Amino acid sequence: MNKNIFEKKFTTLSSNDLKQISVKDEDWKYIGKKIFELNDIEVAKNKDIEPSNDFDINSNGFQYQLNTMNKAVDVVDIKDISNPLIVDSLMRPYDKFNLEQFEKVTGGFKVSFNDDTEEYFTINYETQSNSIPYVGVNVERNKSGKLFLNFDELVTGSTYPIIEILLNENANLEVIMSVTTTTEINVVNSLYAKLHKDASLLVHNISTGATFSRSRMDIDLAGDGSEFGLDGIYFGENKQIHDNRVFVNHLGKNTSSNMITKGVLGHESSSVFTGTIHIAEGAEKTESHQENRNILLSEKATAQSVPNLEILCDDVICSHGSSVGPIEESVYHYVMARGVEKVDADKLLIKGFFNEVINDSKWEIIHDKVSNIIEKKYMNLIESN
Amino acid sequence: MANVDIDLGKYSLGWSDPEKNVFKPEKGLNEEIIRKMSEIKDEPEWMLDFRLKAYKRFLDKPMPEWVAKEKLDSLDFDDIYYYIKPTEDQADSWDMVPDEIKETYEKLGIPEAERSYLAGVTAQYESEVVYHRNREDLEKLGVIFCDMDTAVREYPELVQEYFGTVIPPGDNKFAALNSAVWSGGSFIYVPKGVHIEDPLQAYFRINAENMGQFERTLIIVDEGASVHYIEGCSAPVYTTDALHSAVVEIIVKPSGTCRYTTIQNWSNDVFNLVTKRAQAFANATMEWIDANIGSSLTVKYPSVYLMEPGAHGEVLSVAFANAGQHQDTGAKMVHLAPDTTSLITSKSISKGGGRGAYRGLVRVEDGSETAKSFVRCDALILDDESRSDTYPYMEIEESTAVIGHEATVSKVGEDQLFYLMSRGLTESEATSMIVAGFVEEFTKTLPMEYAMEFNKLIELNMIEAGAVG
Repeated sequence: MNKNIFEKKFTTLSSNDLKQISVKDEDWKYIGKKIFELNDIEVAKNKDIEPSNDFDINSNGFQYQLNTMNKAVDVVDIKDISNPLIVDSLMRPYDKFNLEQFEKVTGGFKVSFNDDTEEYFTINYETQSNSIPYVGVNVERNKSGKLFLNFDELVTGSTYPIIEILLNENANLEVIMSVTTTTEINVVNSLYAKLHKDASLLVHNISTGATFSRSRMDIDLAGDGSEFGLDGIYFGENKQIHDNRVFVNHLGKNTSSNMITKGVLGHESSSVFTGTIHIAEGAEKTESHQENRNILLSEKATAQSVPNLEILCDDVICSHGSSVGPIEESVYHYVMARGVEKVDADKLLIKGFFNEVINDSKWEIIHDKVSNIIEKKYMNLIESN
Repeated sequence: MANVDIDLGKYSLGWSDPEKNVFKPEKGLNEEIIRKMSEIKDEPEWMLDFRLKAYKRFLDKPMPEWVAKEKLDSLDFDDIYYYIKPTEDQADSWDMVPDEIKETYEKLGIPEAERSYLAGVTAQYESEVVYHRNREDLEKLGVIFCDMDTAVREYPELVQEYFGTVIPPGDNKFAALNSAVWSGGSFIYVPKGVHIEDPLQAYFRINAENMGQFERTLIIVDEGASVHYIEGCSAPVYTTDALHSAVVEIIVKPSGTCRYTTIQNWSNDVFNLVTKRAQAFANATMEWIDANIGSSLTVKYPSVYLMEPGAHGEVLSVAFANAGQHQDTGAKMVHLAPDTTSLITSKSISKGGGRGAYRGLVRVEDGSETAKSFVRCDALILDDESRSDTYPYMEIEESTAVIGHEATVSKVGEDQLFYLMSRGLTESEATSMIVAGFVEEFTKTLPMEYAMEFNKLIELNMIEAGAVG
């Protein structure tokens, strides 16, 4: 619809030039037939929405209500952007799907953090049919920002957002990405972040909603001393698929990344976690840790976990771990020996499992909401058993 | 038939089979060559059919694109002798063996006679197997241990029942190639309840210019029986530009135990593309112990299909990737029944620009209740030119399965080096000691003489390029 910021770069490359994606591709494995041809879908038309106190974006079009309360943040409509935020991201579409996203963008804007702000800058997405919203985030040198991307109940149409993040030298950004809509739709995120020297990005990822909830994150730790952190949870029920792909490229020296994702799968739900830590030649003193833990609660639930390492440098510390299984007998025994019923033990243990992530003080503003969702989902599981 | 009982001594005296001279060797592969090969080997009709069908599969299958693409693309299937090489090329001599290989033999203290054998200049026959031992006492127990060609002729029913059942010809391009042109390899049958105390051993070699070696091994361990088979040797095996593409199939029947140890040390220009798979039935144990030191490219993921309750699979894999080498090794465990367990331990060392990769799969099918699997991958990376990859796939469809994976990658710790060096060791001595400790889990499974040779070899590999770490 509006792609003038991308047009220049796409004159030489079109999605038709790229290979058809298929379930055989590493990045699209394990998700059954959920392969997307954005070129075949009809994207929604513009629609007016009621403004709220938070920043609202109607992803169906490119209309949105500005939140002018926060002076630290500057917002520019996609129509008024003449240069891409991060040239690299346009130069590196990783597959046909990603390029189609850029080609069919249905609107969006660039957010610039020009001053420090402690307050979360919240974007509540609203969609009623297929949409491909764009958000570019720029954090100026030495500044810190917080961003909440909220895919809550207002999201009732399949949404395929592009998120680009540029962190300049010594910039900090904390992002909450929350997919909690209970409508049976797809939410497929493609996030790309480039971090310059000493920049730091922390992502809190919540995936409990949608039928198919996928987030692909590509993080380039380009500058020396840059850091990336990810903590995430997912909870599957019915036939939900929670699909997380994290690719971290350690390019600068002294960079670090730390990732932990934990998920519980009930009913016939499934999860995919594939993460690649790539440590480039010369990326000395890199430290990277990656962890993925899954609990399968029902017979038909499945989990795929593929934590990859590609290391081209010797002076590194790198580890990853993943596990899949039911709740351990010995843990049940411990809890139940103290007089707790099986059902309550389950609940307690699942809560404890997630608490490692959500009890962190950084989760404060969403802790209660997430906690309630977990409880509700758990009750659904019990009732259906 | 005749080579069942031969030993090295007889072999080097020039034992020959006149019929084989009739075959006019040529490079490349076509149906005609396969028919001739089968005819010379005097094979039954079903084997020829098997080969021809496999050849079609080989032609249909594309080259794998997910591993070592550049190296694989350089492989020219038309530039390989698939059966026997022309006699004029057999004039290989000790002089042609590169100095560094000779020096390695010297340093390892390998006896003179064995050196020329390892360098591939003594023996006259290719694509055949020399057995170090095939003792009479084994025969008394009813154990069959012979080369595969002999087995096809002498035990056709046994072979036909199992051949190609664990690894069907269409499994992958290289398994298809092997199925079409296989020659040599071992056949072992261990009858019910028989325990073979000492390991069975066989040396393989490639000894001619552009000579491919496509050995085929089939091991059947009957109920309650056990065997330990050792393939390869730690001393480098010299060859020029060869493709080695073996298929190893193992069936371990209920309560049987099989351990298969491989020490692969092809010279650094060999492509080693091997398919190894075992089926373990109720309460059976299958262990792959797999060390890869040599070759230019090794692509090998020994796998165990845990077919029935209580089956247990283990893979212990050690890979050393030095300059110019790509060791893409790993393991696969497929859990198909309840109460099955598996353990994968992988140790890889990359040095001098080498690339070591662990690529593995743990798959737990729905219904494999309380299956357990644990994967541990450790990698040492010794300099900043080298590369270490870990690709562990875990596909879990059973909620009661307990699956774990842990991996670490690091360089040799400075504190460890400091500790040893402050006790008077040089840096390279200290490094090789740490590396030897790193792979000790593997070395301690080996018979004594192998273990000593293996440790020595690690030391040599470390010293070659001077101090590291």
